[in-house]
Amino acid sequence: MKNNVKITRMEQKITQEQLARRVHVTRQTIGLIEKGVYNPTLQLCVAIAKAMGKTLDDLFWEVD
Amino acid sequence: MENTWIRFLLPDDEYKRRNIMSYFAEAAILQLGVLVIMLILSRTGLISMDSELVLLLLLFGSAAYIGIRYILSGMEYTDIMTEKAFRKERKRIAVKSITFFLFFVGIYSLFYLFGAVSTSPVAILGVSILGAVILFITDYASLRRSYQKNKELID
Repeated sequence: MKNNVKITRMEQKITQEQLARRVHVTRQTIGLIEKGVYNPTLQLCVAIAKAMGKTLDDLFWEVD
Repeated sequence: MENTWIRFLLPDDEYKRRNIMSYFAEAAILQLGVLVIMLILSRTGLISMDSELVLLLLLFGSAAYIGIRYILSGMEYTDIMTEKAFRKERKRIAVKSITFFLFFVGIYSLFYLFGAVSTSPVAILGVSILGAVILFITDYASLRRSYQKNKELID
């Protein structure tokens, strides 16, 4: 699943490690989400959105 | 967190947890398949197997399946992203294997000296070396897979 997690994270100057710690997952999981290899649960999507001060739409909604 | 009683066996990380759960499920299905095949073979009289042997095969077979899937998944060492970290962890694994070898030989030697076991020292040494080598190989394979996977995910 394509998403804007990496772009947003870089804009906010947060490392994968920092984001991982905020949402209680491993850095590998964040990397996999950013690459679109792993589709997180809704619970984790919400946690990531909250940690970055964004909405689910901002991070995970695909706009053509 | 998934609503299951095996929660205590699962890690906190969501990705790891979901994958491990699928390995457990795959192992259970395979176990079921093997049981059905063995039942058919036994009923038709094609083979006769010792029931204890069948149980041991199923037990170690499914444990090995889950273990191998976990090692090959590259999920164990989630923070090994650089060459430096990889080399440091490899060293730690080597030390762990050597420690295991020394500990195993030490404990066995004590039992041998006190006459609790009668296995020959050569056999003890052989088993200890084999155990340490297997421990190193499995840990190293897992580390290598994790490093390869993590390298592609780095910022």
